[in-house]
Amino acid sequence: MEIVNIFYLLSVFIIFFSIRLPIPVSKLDNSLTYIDHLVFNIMIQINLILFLSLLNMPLKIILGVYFSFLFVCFIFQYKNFCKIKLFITNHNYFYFFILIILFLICVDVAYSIVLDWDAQKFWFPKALNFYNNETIQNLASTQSTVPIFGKPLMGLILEN
Amino acid sequence: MKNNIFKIFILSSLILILFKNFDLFRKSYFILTKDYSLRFNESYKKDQFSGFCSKESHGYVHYIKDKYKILTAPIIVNLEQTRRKLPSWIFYNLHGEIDEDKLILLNYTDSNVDLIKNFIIIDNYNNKCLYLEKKNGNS
Repeated sequence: MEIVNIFYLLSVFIIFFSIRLPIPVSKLDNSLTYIDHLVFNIMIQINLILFLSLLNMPLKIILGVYFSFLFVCFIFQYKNFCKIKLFITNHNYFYFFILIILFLICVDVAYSIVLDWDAQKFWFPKALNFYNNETIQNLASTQSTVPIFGKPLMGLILEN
Repeated sequence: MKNNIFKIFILSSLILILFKNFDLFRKSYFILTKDYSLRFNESYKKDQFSGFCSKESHGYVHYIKDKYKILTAPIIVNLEQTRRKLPSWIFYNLHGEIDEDKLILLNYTDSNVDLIKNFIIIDNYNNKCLYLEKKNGNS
C-alpha cells in the first residue's frame, strides 16, 4: 500500500508543482524549460504556505487558501497546462533520473521508519503543531528553536 | 540515433546500479508484505537508541497505541538510569495534552513496585514495559 501512496504523492506533487503563476515570471519566461518552471513553482508554493502560516492561520485555512490559489492559477493556465509533457521528451533524461532518485529515497524512508534524535526533539513537534490545527503563535509551546520553514508543509503532508 | 542508444544505455546502467545500491527490490518486497506497525517496530529494533522494550522503547509505545486505539498520549515514564527521550510524539498530540489516568512505564524493574500500587495493569510485556490505568480513573 505504501508503494501506491509513494506513486500517488509523487504524482500529486508533480501535478501541483506544474501549475504556474498566471503571469510571466521573467522576460526569459518563454525560454525556460519545464524543469526550470517546476523549480520556480516549488519555491513559490512552499513560500506561499510559509507566508500563510505566518498570518497565524491554522492548517485547514492554509490548505483552503493554497488549493484556491492552485485552482485560480490552473484556470488561467489551463491551455498551457494541457500542453505540459510530464514524461520524457528527447532531452528530459535528467528529469526522469531525478524522478527515479526521488522514488528510491521514498522507498528507503518507507523501509526504515526512524526519526532521529533532532527530528524527534526539534522538527517533528513543530510539524505536529500545524497537524493539530494550531497556529504559529502556539509554536512557543514546542520549545524548539529551529526555523519553521517546511514545518507547515510537513504538517500538510501528515494531514493527507 | 547511435548517440541516443548510447545515452539510454548509460542511463539504464546508472539506474540499475542505483537500484542495486539502494537495495530497491528487497526493500520494496518488505514494504509490500509487512504492515506499517511491523516495519515501525523492526526499524526501531535496529536503532541504537531504541528497541521494542529497551532504551527509548518506541516499539512498545507504538504497539500500545495500536492495540488500544489510544488518541491522547498517556503519561510516559522511562525508569532507565540513562536519560532517555520520551517517544510521546508517536501519539501525534501536542506537548501538554496528556491523559493523566493512563501511564506507560518503560524499563520497569521490581524495585519500582511502589510506583504502580495505585494502578491496574492493562498490558505487561516481560514485566519490563507496562501499560497502566489509575484505579479510580475513567475506563
